[in-house]
Amino acid sequence: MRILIVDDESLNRFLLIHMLEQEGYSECYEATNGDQALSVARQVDPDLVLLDVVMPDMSGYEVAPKLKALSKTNYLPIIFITSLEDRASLIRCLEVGGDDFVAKPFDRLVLAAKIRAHGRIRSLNTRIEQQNAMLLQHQQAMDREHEIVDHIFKNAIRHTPEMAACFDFKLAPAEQFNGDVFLTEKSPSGGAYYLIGDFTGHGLASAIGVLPVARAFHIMAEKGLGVAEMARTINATLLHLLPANMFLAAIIAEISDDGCQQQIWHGGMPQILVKRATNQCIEALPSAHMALGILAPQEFESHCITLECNRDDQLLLCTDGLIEITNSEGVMLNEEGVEQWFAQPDATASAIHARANQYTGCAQQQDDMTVVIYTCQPFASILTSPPDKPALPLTVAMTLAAPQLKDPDIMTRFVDTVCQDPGMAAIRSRLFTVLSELYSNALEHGVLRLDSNLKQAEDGFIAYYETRAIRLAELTAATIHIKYVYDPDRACITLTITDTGDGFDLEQVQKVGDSAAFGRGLPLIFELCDTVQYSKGGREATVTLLLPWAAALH
Amino acid sequence: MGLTTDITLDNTHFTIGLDEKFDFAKVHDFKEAYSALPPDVQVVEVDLAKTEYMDSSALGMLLNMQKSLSGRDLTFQITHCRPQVARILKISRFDKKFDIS
Repeated sequence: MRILIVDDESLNRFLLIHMLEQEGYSECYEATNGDQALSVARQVDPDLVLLDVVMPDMSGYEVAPKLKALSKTNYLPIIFITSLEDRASLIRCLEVGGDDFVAKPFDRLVLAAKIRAHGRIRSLNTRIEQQNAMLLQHQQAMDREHEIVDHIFKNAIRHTPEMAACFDFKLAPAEQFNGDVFLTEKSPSGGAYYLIGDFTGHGLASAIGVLPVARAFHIMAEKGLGVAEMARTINATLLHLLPANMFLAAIIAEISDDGCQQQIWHGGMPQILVKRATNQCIEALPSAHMALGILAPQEFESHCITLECNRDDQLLLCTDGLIEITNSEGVMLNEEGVEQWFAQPDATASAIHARANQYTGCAQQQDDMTVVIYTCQPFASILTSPPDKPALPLTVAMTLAAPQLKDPDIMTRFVDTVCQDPGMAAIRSRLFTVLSELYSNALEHGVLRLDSNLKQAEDGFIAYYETRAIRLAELTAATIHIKYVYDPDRACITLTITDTGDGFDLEQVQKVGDSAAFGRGLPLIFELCDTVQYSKGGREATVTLLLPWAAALH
Repeated sequence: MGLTTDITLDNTHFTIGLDEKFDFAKVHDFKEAYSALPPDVQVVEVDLAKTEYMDSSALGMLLNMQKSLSGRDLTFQITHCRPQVARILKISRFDKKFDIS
């Protein structure tokens, strides 16, 4: 222990050093005045100072705060040595920063005891300083890590501006990281997918599961997979990743391009509320399955429900964080409370969130809370950003001769070719159905001269396709001409299919009942196309299909 | 092939799963799938979860199945329809004859 002794009288210094040496303190330094005390302190960084009060030039009262200031970070005990006995002087000793005082003449044992006591305080203080520094380091390291994780989460859970505009949502995590998740993605068929979920618990530990789920969701949505398959895949992923006591309650849904039909997989989440635009009646769709990440693949139930809505009907989705909020009397809001709030004519996600805050008062939020409101509306109106719309006025024409007509996948290949532009995904499925109907008619009735009445007989359906296969194999000279024109200005596709057959009588063919196993192709064509025209005695069909955004162009 | 079949352990629920395309190329496989239906089956489910493309011959196949199994007391379900496929089933008024979900 380094002890600095400051006294203008050499006798006092001598006495003190002698006493200290007897007590085993051999590292003692001397100063005869305030200035010297400060310069020695700078050099040796003492652990304790014995300071005389009355000195020429600078008194002990002046030196004490300066010595304290030198030892910036740590506690430097200063013990005043004084022959003054008035209370005011003693009090002043402590007020200027002194920690204790000993009276002259010195009592060796008292002095030694005081030095030991202050030494203990100083070493305690040193430990606290070190621990504080370590804590600070940990804190900084954690902040840096959180910043990185936060960045990753923000990127993983990003809504495109179009999707964000279609859903009214409010997420309120209980901590920095959210164990609730809300994801959206456009579907290739012009509609949208969404997933709202709630991991067990809250905070970073539950939020971590969001990453693989978001990734799987976006990849599967881009591929246009069905909701059942999405649920099955995410379940398998989470079952593998998560500890047994953690799972994801979730609703996964695909909305059709007109915004009015939804395929919903509902596992372990609070009921979905549907508010009908016509009469403001509210229906509830309860959960049908266990949450994701619990059941083994062979036990998993992927059954979905189909929800039919009309334009402007509204859906409310929320996590149990909202249902389970309690007010100051300990009363839980419950599903009934949420329903009442949703019944208000101006219910928005933010309004419901604000009411939830009012309801709980100033109590700390216990769990993550998410509210989503979806208003049924066609997605076409929002798919208007330029990159979504194919800009090239594309014309593709081909003449198929016998070798190509024998290829069963020829129409799939044609659709793949003309739908290269991702913007065409919205119409791909419809285009395939229309084109394969037109093509089947041209090939089977025009070129192969098959009679649909064949299908009426017992097992006629199979016989029809067997005959088709035989005639197709024998086919040598025939052609079908297909022309595809896309006009970006009108957002319109025109298809013309011409065959070398005998043509047909449209009116005759249209007289078919509902239960016949054939004759469904034409009604489909009429329903799926915007215009249909037959010419050249039925040998040529010209149809137009408007793309979803056509209406927005005028 | 692009078609799978599955039956529950108690032999009562039979499922035919289609791949992305349900068109005339599946005529034989589809008929084959339900030709030897076990006697205990009560529900025949056609799972269209993966199906993106469908044409009128698929509609014919579904009706044909119902017709050829009409002597038995069966429930027919078409499940997991994608919106575009559901639309075709709706246009063709299949909801009158099948449980569609």
